[in-house]
Amino acid sequence: MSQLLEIKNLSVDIMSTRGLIHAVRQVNLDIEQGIIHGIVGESGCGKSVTAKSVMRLHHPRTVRIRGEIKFNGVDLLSLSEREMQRIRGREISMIFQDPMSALNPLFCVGDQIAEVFMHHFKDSRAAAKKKALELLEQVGIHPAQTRYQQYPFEFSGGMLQRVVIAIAVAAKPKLIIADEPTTALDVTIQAQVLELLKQLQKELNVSIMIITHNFGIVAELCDHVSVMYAGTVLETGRKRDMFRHAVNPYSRALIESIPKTGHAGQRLTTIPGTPPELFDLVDGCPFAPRCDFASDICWREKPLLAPCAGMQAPQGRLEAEGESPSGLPEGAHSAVEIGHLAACHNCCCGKEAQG
Amino acid sequence: MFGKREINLSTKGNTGTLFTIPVIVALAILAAIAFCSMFAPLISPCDPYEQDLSVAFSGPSAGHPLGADSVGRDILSRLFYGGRTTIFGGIAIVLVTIAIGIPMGLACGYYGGKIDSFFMRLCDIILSFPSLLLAFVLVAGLGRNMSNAILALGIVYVPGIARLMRSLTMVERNKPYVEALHSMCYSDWRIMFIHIVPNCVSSVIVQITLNLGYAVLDLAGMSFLGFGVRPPTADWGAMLNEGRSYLMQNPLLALLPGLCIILLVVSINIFSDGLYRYLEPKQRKLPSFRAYERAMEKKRKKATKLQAEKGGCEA
Amino acid sequence: MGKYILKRTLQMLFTIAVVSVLIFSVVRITPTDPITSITRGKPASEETIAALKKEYNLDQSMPVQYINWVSDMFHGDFGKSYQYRESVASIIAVRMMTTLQLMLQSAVLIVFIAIPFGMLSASKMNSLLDQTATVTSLVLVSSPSFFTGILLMLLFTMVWPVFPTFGTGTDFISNIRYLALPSIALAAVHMALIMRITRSNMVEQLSANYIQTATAKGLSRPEVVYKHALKNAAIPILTVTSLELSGLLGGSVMVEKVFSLNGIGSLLADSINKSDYPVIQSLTLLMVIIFLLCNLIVDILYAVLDPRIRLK
Repeated sequence: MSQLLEIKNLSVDIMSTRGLIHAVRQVNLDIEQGIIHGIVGESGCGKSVTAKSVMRLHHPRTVRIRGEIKFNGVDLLSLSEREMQRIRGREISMIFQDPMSALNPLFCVGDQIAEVFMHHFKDSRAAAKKKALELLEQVGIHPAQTRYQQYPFEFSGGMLQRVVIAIAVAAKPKLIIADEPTTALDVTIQAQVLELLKQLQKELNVSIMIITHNFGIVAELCDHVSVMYAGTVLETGRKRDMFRHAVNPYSRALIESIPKTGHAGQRLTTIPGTPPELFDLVDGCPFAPRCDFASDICWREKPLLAPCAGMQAPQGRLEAEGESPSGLPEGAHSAVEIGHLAACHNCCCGKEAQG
Repeated sequence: MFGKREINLSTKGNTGTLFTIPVIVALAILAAIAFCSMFAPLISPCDPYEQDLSVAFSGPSAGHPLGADSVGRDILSRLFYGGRTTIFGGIAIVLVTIAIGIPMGLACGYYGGKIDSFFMRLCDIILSFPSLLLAFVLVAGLGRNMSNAILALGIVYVPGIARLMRSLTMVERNKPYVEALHSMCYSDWRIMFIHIVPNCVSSVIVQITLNLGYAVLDLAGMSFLGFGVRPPTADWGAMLNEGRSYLMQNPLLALLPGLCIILLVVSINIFSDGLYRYLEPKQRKLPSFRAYERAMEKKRKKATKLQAEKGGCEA
Repeated sequence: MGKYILKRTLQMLFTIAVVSVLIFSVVRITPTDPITSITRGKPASEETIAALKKEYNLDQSMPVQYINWVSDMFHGDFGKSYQYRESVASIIAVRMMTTLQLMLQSAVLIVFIAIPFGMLSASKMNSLLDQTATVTSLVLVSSPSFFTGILLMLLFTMVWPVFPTFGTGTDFISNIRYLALPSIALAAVHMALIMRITRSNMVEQLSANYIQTATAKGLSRPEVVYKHALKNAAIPILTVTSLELSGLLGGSVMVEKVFSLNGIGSLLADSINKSDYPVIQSLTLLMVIIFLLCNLIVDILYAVLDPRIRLK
């Protein structure tokens, strides 16, 4: 499969009033053509920062980005601001978390959609308006004619998110980054918006990188999943593999904490503690303090993302010291093909692993 | 198992300090001005009111370090004494504003209803006069002298403080702790002044320092127009007005008091700005990466140097 | 929209009524007897005083005097000045043009220099330009307008005599040069304030979420700043600008005195010093009305700019 977006060794440092935050640490991430790729993690683990880095929306004075972000083979970080403007909205577009504040309150919503056509395709005002009206219909805003003229404050949150989605798909981009698109919405509206995203993805055959803290959304929507924690990717792979055989203890814990039906009377599984603040770079695994399976090596060395051995039945210690998969035991071959990568010194198959 | 080994994730870095370089410089200037005014009788070379026509318009000399004015009074001494009047006037104006504005805003925010709408209409009336016009009218009615000018300017600033205090009180009033105090049957007075006021202090202080700068400027303006300090009292605004008539003979007569006013007000404004940034962390300016790295490099060098010295001692 | 304007207008009329009572009564707290100001301190005989009292309507009770004042104002009669012994309306009319032109020139400076610089400063935050502008505005805000005027006078008489430092021209065009320095002196403080406020509002708007959306659409920086952020920042900038512009009325009092201009500002200062109450009360009320009219226009502009006000 062709890689649409390849993120290599991405590190993002953010200056804050309380000190330097190492928000993203050596992240590697590939997003394939035409799939929905979910990025899951608790809040403050660097998901949004990664997404904004792809769009280069960070202020260069207070945010430093290092590494490579290759989109269709072109490193976005090496492009000039002008070249980047041709990518934004046209090739990659973004859907933001809070639709209420994502639209300019003083422009009517239709014009904000039409702006994309006028900007990227140099359409006339009338042509852009016509296209925008069609688009409004397509994302389920009726009657488009009257809704076009209305201002954001006259819309509900769910309707506004549809508008934001319309802006995102307007120029038929290759990649849409959706940053927690349903977090600010009511639960009933969430499902509708997700359904719309899914439907548009099929119609336009775009890739969607969806950021969420909700594994439920992943289950419903995604083809691939990456789990992020404290600025690092801990595990990445196909959704099915992830749900069946997550290797990293954190991924497992996240999956286990999804509320299930038919388990009445059972306590909801939770992960104790909170994610660390990201001021210091640590040597060991960032999840070690909260991990049930942490052993000495977890405190000393950072686990690296490596192909999982024995996907079908995770067992034994995972030798994942180096980046190259050369030293892997037999059977790893299939895992490489599947593309399931995890970062952990221990396999979480049982208590005996911790000694 | 849990919490076996804590990873050190301390929140180091700049937690923000009030004392940035501009604020330190401003405070130093304010301290110098305050010192000169406070000890004016001790450090002045001459009596600021003693006239000596023989030295009128003379330039700097041993007896008169900055020269003498149109009637031969020593300029330096008059500047020292003028600082007293100006600073005292500014502070007095702010005190008048606080004395009226804080209780007014507190009552409006706390009780709401008719009290609130009455006082807020009153503020609207005050605000319907452009800039100093109300102060002019008040002074015209009450008589032109310094105490009336102070009172008039104090009233002009009341709406600013009252509205701020009102909005802060309205926020505080709805917090659970006030409800808790009510349930303990504390009197309204006690809740307002002992509990609510301290919670609003930081925002009010910023506004007050800002007002102090404006008060100094406006009082100088009133004196310049002859509505405030009466001659021959030494005051920077009044001195500026006197010096204006003799611009061609000796521009220093007008320039020096003017520069003193600017210096005082700039310092007050820098301090007020620093205070605002300190109290409202959102407003704090972030260092650039280059500045940050330079600071870290310095720290590292210092650390290695210390270590080297330590090593040297041990050896 | 119409209802909104009507409401604002009624509020304004009410305020004007209250302010007129306030001005009328405050001016009469005075310890100075009007007769002394009319006769300029000279002793006068009983008959003269009685005649003067009749001439100036001082023989009637206070409420009647107030009603006379207000009803005469509706007919364009502002009373009779104590010091000039002529109609206040004609004195004001003669001097109005100078002050209006002074304000107009200052307003041009504020709108066409301070606001663009504030925006530039915000869009290039922390650049050299931004820092220079910030420091300059800090100094200007802290310099009283009369001192700025004196500095300009010194500079342009001694160092670089391109603008006249005193006197007035004969018509509007020739006056432009004569009023150049006074208008700079008058505008300086307000320019600095408005620059700061424009900058901080723009900075605030530029960090808003919708700016990210606009950037993510692929718009260029100027489009984002001047199309999206500016319209949002315009509302608060407009408020402050209108307040400052009408604040120029108060500032003109000092600047006209520095440059010895014959405007209504210096007239007011003069009248206060000479206890000329008819001039003080009429002139003050006039200034308040101009100020409130400015505010009304701004309120209407608000509604035009902001759909949230217009459509509710």
